[in-house]
Amino acid sequence: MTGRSKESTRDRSARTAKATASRPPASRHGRTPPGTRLAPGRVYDFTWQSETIAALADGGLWWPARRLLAIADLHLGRSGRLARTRGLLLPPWETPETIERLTVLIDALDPATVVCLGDSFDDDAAARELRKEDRTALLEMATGRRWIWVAGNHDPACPATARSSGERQEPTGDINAGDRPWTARLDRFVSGSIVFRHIASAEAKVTGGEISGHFHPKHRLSSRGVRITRPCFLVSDRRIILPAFGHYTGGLDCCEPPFPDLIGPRAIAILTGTKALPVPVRCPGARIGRNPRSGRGGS
Amino acid sequence: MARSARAILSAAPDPDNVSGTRECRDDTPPRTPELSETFAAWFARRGWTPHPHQTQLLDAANDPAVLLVAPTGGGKTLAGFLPTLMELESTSGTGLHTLYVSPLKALASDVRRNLLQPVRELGLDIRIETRTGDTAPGVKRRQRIDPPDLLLTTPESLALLLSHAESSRLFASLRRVIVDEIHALAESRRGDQLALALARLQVLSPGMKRIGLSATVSDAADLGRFLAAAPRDCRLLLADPGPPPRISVLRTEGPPPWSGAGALYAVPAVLEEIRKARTALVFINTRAQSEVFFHALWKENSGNLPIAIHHGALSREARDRVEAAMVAGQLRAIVCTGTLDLGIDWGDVDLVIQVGTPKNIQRLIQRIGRSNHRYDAPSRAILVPANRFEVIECQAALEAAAAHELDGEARGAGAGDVLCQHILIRAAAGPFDADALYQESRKAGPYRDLTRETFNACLEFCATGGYALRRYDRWQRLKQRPDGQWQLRDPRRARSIRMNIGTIIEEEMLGVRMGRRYGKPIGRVEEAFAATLSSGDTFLMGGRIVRFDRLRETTVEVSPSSHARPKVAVFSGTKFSTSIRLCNRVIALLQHDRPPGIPPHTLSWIQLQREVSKLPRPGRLLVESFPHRKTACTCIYGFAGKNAHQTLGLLLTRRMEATGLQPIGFVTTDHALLIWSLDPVNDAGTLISLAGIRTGFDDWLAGNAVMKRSFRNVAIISGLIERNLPGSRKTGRQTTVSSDLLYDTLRKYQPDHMLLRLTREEAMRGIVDFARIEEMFARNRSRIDHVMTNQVTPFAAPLLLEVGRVPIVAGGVERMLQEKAEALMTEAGLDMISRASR
Repeated sequence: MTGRSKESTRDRSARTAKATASRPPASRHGRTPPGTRLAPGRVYDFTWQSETIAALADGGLWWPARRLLAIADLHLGRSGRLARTRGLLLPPWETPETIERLTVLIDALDPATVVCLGDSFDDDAAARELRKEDRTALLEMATGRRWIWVAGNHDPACPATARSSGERQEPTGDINAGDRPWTARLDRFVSGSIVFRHIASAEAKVTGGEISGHFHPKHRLSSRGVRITRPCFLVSDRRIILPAFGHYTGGLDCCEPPFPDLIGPRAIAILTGTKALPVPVRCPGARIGRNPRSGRGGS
Repeated sequence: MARSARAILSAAPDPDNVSGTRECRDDTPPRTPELSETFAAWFARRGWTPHPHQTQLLDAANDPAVLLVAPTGGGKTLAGFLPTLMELESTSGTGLHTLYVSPLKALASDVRRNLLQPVRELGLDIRIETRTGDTAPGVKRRQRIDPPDLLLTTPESLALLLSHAESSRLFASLRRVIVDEIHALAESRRGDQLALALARLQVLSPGMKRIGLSATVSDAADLGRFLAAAPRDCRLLLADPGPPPRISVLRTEGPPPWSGAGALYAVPAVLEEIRKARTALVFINTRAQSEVFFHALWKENSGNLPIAIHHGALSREARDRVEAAMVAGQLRAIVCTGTLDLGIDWGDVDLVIQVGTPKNIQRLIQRIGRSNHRYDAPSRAILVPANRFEVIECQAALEAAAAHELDGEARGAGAGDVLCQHILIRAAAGPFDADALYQESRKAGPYRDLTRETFNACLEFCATGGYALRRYDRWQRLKQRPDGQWQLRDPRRARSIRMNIGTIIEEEMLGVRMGRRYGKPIGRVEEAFAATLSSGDTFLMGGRIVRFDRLRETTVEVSPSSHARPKVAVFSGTKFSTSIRLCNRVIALLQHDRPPGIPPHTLSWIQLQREVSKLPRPGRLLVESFPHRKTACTCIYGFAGKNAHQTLGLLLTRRMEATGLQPIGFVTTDHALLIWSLDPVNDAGTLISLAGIRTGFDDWLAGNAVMKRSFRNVAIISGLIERNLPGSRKTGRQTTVSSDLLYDTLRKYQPDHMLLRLTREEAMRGIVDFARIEEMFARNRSRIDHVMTNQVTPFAAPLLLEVGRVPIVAGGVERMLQEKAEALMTEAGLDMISRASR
């Protein structure tokens, strides 16, 4: 099953989503999902909403049964936006760097569907300003598979090449329309009982599962006086919040609001970086489950 | 108030208060014709006689630049202001006349208070105002339109003033700049910024004169070149240094311990000295040690002597309270760090105690100058060695001080990142011509050798970032107009430039508050230290033991604790290395058969070292190898300072790893480096060679954590990263990109970028201190005394007891992370539910 060629993927890409979804789960616990060429330790798989899901050290979420890759917060064109709006001149390589990492991941997994969970571009202008090389690389990556842009707060209209807006159910029919490989731009994307959206919904109850981005969660571990902070996945019974995949993205400590309210007291953080490392989320002194602050007072 | 005014303005003492002999140079007349009638009468009324250097400065007041080097208490500040006050007697109210710049906000306010009295007594109609970070925005606005005669400020506030378009009008009337404590400013990048500001002021007011006021320094001419408009020289006035200080080394009943830097053994003896003195300043080299020492002093302080603590990590309120109590004469001693090296004159201090070796003789002399601010009386100081080796070093320092052998190090060239900031500040003030700004910058002392190429690189960086990857038009901060002038692409950016002015970069610190949200602020700890705390941990802060409750956003919340053994707050602060001269004096001292002034307990230790091994000799590198607890120890007496030894340790263990000697770890002090390995070093000459450690040095250095720390500073100062964002109360921390990431990105895509070059230069001078390693090799060439014995040598034994051993672990961080993660999962009972695939 491994090492399948590009051609065969293209053939399969014409299948409907239903066919993709009905493919039997090829992964058993304790084994690297097929179709991946990822180093051991760089994958952590777990059962969530009765599905086998893999968190990757690269920052992507892999759903082997559907051959679906979800990534969040690419923030392409961030340095360009900061130059434009704030006069900051950061080294302008974050877009090629992010695209390079994404290319490696997609080559290794060969997903049938890629869901970008919003804030894929740092703003709508950043999508238009993309350098030609970067645009070409993105188009190449998207060719032959379903590619869903979920709109984010940074990029409500992106990408410029996408089709109509509006909330829709999972699209069916022709996936690769003409020269536009982008399948859809959606406010949310639903697959079975699982909904993909940019920001975790505010209501406490989520029916089914919810996969989102937006917050750039980070987790901090300290031991023997050394402190290490890594972007992380947050996994609770019903929610998964993805780390930011983009290169120049800060982060929010997973003990800071609103995380305690979103993920509850028994969540697991999966650290990214060299390895996908699961740790329990333990916030010293935090009163989990209650909003600790009413306003922005304090420090 | 009368006393403090007296302290700052003290001319010669009141006749009824002359104690002992008063030595006065005869070559100056008691009254000088230069003093105007009003002033002469005022001096006479106070019963004072001007010091010779005060009248000399008056003489030289029309020189373009004068540097006055005088000990504290010599009426230096009045000397600086005399020419201005006399000129203003007739011409006040004609715009800004004199600008006074000092390194401390507190000093500016203090000088203002102390000037008001003589101004009143002289009947002068002069407006004197301060302008610092504490000045209200409304006052600042008014000052830009309607300036006082005399403005007292700091280098940062001056740079901020220059970033406004009105600055050209404001400073057009400026006649004089007085730079106080110039020796302290010149040591750092703040000095570079000030020098560039002076060059700018000179353009705005071509007739401006410069006066510099400095404490005793080793190289006054060098400092003069820093002050003067390059390439011109500076007139130097060296005041009578006064009677030599009386320095002694503390003798205690028992000998000091073999290792460590805390000097806790000396607490009872120090307390006794404090009791005998009127008021004492107790200088300790690091904040953490000062906390521990202070805590120990109070445990012994059965007589409840009023003793306070003062260091940079305490809250401003806490420090203000201590300073006010000191001025009011309520304290018998202050335990302090470098924060009290400068500042308000306290006339009543009659004793300076230096705990731990001073490491640098010039700083020792300046600290001693903090006592007895009376020109005629000798200052008194006691050195407290923290361990056996420091007994030798303190003796060496004492001899060096007696011989007036100061060890200031030559000032490096002006830093590129500061020039970048200066260019942005200039752009914020309005369009500029690149040629003119280049010529102007070269008139700043530290930038006198600035090449056009470097200047252009800095300008290019400010304009576009200087990246090899070309971007679209709006990728510009500065743009060139059709007439060739440069200006901000977006004038609104001036605000964020102003908000990020400054060259002092601290570690990320978190505020510490007692109790819940609106609790009293008591100080700050490093973010990295706060991260290691768990609920219930205790640490020392401001002499109190506090219990860590929680971290809320950027505040550490604590409560009082009665725990007996606290963790200690770690502050990285500045870590000085023992100076080259002091190291050489130590080696020289060891060549005596019976080194003078060394007590018996240390003499016998030196004697034993001579018998068992060898003593370090000038021009030769002593290396010892011996087994210890199944490991092979190698001790290298480099005498190159702690930072250089640290670097040397990292480089040598890397070489040892490559040759299979299996190093385990190393430990460093200012004089030696001890490495543990599984296999012994048999050929010290091959291992310890300059060519050898240079191989692969650049790669090693580029990937090193210290480089990332240096890069952060360079990136912030040059304006690549903004710490403060307009319209945001938060610091830039949450919103800006991590500087480590920027460093890695630049290294990957443009390794020759200007900021990476600046970072390397900065690290080589500072934390890496490669210059001292080169100096060590130059001093010893390849003459190595390699002693191989079967026992631990007397000089090496204390190193085995030193804390702070650096372990050599391949892939250490990742392994540690994994262990910790697994432990946490097991503890939470989660390892059964989820499992890693590998």
